[in-house]
Amino acid sequence: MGGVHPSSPVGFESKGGRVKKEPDRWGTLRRVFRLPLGRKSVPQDVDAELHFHLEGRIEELMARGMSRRGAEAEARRRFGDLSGIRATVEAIDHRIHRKRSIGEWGFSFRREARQALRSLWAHPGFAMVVVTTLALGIGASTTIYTLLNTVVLHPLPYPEANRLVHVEHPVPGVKADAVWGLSVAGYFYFRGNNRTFEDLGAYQVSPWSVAVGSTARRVRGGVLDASVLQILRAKAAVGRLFISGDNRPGAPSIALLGHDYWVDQFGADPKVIGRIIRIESSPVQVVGILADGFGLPDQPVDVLVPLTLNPNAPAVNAHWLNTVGRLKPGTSLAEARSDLARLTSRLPQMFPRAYSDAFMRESRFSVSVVSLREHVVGDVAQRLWILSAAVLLVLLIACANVANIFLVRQEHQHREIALRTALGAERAHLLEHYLSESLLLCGMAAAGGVGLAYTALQLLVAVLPAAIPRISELHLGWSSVAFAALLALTTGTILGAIPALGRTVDMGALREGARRLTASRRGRAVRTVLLVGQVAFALVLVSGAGLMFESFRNLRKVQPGFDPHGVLTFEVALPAEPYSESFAKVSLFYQEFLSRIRALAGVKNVGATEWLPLSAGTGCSSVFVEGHPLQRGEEPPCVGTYQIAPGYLETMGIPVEGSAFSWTESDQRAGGVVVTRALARRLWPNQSAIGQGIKGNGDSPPYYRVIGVASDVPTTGLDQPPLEAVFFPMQPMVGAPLWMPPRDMTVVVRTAGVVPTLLIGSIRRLLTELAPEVPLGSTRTLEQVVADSMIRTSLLMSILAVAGVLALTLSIVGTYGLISFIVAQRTSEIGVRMALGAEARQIGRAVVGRSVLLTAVGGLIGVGASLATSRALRSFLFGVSPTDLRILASVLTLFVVAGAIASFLPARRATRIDPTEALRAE
Amino acid sequence: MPAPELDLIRGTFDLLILKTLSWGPMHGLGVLRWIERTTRDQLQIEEGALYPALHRMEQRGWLDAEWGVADSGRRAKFYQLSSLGRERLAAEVSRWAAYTQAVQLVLRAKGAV
Repeated sequence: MGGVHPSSPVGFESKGGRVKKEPDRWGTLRRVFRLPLGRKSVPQDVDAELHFHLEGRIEELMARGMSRRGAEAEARRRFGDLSGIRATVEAIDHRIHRKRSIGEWGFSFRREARQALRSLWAHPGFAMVVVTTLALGIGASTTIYTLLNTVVLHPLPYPEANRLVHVEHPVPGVKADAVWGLSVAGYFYFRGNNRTFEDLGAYQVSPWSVAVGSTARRVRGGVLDASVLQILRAKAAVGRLFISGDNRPGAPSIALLGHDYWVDQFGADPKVIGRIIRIESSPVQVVGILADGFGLPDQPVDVLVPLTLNPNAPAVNAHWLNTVGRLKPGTSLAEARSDLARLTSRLPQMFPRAYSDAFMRESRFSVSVVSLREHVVGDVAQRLWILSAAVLLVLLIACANVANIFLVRQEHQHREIALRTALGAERAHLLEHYLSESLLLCGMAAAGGVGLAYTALQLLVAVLPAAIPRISELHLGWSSVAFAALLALTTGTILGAIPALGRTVDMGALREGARRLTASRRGRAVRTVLLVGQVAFALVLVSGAGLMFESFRNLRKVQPGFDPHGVLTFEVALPAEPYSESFAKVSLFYQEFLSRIRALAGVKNVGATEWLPLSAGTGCSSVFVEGHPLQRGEEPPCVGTYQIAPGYLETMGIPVEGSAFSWTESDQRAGGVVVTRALARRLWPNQSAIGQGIKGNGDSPPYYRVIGVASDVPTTGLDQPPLEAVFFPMQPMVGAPLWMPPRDMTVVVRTAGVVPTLLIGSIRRLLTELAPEVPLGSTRTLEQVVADSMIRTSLLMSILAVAGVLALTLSIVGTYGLISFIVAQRTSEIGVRMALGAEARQIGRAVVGRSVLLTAVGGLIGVGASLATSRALRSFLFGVSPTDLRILASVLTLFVVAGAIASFLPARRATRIDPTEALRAE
Repeated sequence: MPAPELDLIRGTFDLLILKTLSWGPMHGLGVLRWIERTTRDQLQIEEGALYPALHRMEQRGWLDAEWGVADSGRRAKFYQLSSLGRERLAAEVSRWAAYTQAVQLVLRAKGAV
């Protein structure tokens, strides 16, 4: 065998040698012939192949003497089912084509990526700058995305949470942003008469002390109507939930335990069902464990008990019920709102004793229905959106910067591109080249960014206040990684497309020494725009940070009215039994406890208060002033009323005009009280407060006597107006009852010569000796209390500051890059000028001037943008206007100076250009 | 035209095509003619079935295909063995040898009694 039959019409010998032994060249050949690449060409190719076969046969048959017709028929017959075979072959070819195109794409990407890696390796500086810049942008964006996703975007952990709402009563007539809960009467009326709710449920959360055996613990407690569990679709892990009969007055005392608490306290022992625990000293039977992850909307809970409400009790105008509701399917918020508004307007008619028309009018009592999610994350959400805007700006600046670097580099590669084009590289191939390179860079940046985000998130969890919803769940999940990858892919695609799109290749670049000024004019314009925009964005960020910094400084300047240094604070909660009824017992306990603390080494002074300034607010009570009978329709002033243990004001370092009461006076129930200066100003303007009479319950003698005026202290924040309050002694005066014995108090301990927190151990030991059942919690220094109150401002300030510094640095780098480029590009022009007698100083000045001009233009645009957007920060500012021109002016100056500095090196380079060298190079 | 005498045994068509192409690149009609000529027209082949077989082998990577110009001056699709196809051919050949040997053993066996 071997050889081909001489009469064979098939002549593969002519070309066989060329292709036979070199499979590598098949690809090249295929391209030369432009073959089975196109999907559309498959049917044509199959046709051509089969046609060739039939024609060949026909000719052969005719050569043997058949007629054309006969030959055609015979060829067809021998061939068989032509259309069936054609279909089969086409289907196979389509599959081949699909497989091949994927393979080719992968191959060419790998090749381009390899090439890109090689070229990046050759320019490590370029790669490093680009990757670092983008990694910062991607890292920052991923961090904020994760934060937003966890805290805001993440749905509430309840089924069909979009139907959940929070109901409350805004009372703008009482105070601008005052919002009350529902009253018992209102709650039952709403529940019974609405048309839009599946159900409503009321709950209350408060810290309790819960004793299991002989150990007591401070837990997060909740009292709730069984309907709340229904509305939130709670499930029991063990045992049962509450049912509607559980909250009847007189029903047995039962409790549900939160899953985490059950695991911590009982080691997830299912036998806990039926056990008795003591909540605030009263025995309660555990009937169920909530499913893992269930919590009330505002916070997780450890122990829940049924809320006992009497629907038939006389209506009282007391609004203390937190209310959630589940809308009927298909009901909108607006419908629910108007439904409840209708019911609210009927309250005076239904409960005239509780809701007078005058009250409704003066307090502008209304009802609001907001989605539960908004209720939970409202304030936090606003802050996070500001942050994400800030971070997006950083990312944009980073991209602008990198785009500029890409463009500059592309300018350098100009000849190479022209050469490749001349050699037959197509636009698509150039695009492929750039895309591979930019995707590779962005991929590295994404890896770096994810690393940065991981670190940043760990830092944030440690630093952010625990009050932010779901903050403990914050971690870098797959969605965050996917987000980073998406960012990288998007930026990579855009950056890769910039050089390849919309440009005609200038073949003139191939000519020896061709001047490229005309070709790059447009490129330079693009770069200038990018730089100006980048400076503008950066200025917006830095001025935002400046505003926050100014607010923070103003807050720091506020004298808190007490001396926060060297003071330890902690909370103590006495159990209801035996303390809930006896002022004397509570007083005796604190007197003993405080005197033992005072005896510790290093303690200078000690006191206790029901409410510590700068902690969360506790509302107000009505007080009556001797000699000021209320006019018709006049409401008594509602002010803070706190019982304090003697020594509190001295320990805090709050100066008192007159005197404060001592333990002896308190025990003798002498009835001396201290008021704050702000309250004295309000109640007794233009006269001395000392000796005036005031009391809490009822407007008849005897009155408490004001014996001292304490200087002003802040309320819940340093930016809030000073506190208006009366400080009552531990025991009420005879004939002038106080509200309830002050079981829960915050103890303050002023130390001398010891670190305050080091005392905690010995104080805890003291307390265990004195009353082992009493829990102690929230140990903080007073300085921490002050710092925590500023966290809102300081947090936003620090994040904006970080973003601002990033942005400023990036735009300095960007300015430096552009100016350097301009100088390099104009080397010959500068050379000519110098040859014509221009001085080095003039040249340098021109370069710096150019940079200053660019940053000034960008800066001015940024100032405009700041003025337009800083309003968003308004609610976070203190003592500074969002359009503070002084800050804007100093930030603008900062940018211009930065622009001048950025151009220093390129300017020096320009002045050192040797005219003869430059001209020779030309 | 002599009458064909033998039907093509199923599964051996691939082997014939691979073996034929081992001599060099050919188009479909060329493969067919080669087989006719070497078997002196003793095999009956439904010609159309050749093409699905060729394309399937191309899909499997046993054959490479390209367009070229035949002696007649027409465009034709040429096939040639890839290295994968060569390995396949070797495997098929030894399988075929084992098969025919087994058949031969049966045919040549004497009576067992």
